[in-house]
Amino acid sequence: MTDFDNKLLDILSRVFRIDQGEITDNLKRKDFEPWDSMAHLMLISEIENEFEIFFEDEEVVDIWTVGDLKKILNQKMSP
Amino acid sequence: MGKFLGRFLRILAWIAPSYQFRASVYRKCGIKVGKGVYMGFLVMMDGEYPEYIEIHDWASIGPGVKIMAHSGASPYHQRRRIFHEGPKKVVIGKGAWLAAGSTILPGVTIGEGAIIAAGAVVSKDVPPLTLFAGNPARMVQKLEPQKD
Repeated sequence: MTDFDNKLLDILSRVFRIDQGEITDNLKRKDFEPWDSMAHLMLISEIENEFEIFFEDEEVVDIWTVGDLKKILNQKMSP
Repeated sequence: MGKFLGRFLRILAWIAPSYQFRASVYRKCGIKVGKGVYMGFLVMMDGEYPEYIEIHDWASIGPGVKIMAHSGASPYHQRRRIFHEGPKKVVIGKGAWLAAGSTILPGVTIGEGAIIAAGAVVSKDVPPLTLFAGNPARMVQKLEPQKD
């Protein structure tokens, strides 16, 4: 578990108010009730502030699972 | 009817019972309001430049929404030329829904069928069939009509 993963898990558990153990890559926005549009926005802005990056509109819309989120983050963080 | 009468009518448009009546009072104030527009309580629209605001058919304006067409700044700023912006056109597209307490800034066009979440502050154009939220408002989701 890297520092990056820990930070991401921390943000996810804080935004959705769940334990870090409950978070899997398959967690879907569509069938997970706490992940509504407002939580999505909070999640995006928390991640932007923490990792000092910026998501384009298209990227925000395309994040549907925690796996998607990790994939996009990896693309953005690798130089 | 113009701006002068509009200044008095606007108070009526805030608190009048029934949304059709509030919408038609805003029409009298000089704002272009289409048919079937829902107008909530305490909707605040730019009183100085009503002719710059256009609301298309079947749009839904929630309670406490603010729509501004100009940003005037204080006389201090205007005199010292620190900040002054003239009016810019605001268009609310067909069937768009502005939820309670959202703020629309000058020059913004809301696309057809878009949703603005409660309390959002919209400073840039919103494409059709999208959900915008937050301050400043950002795209959160694309809306897909259900097919039968």
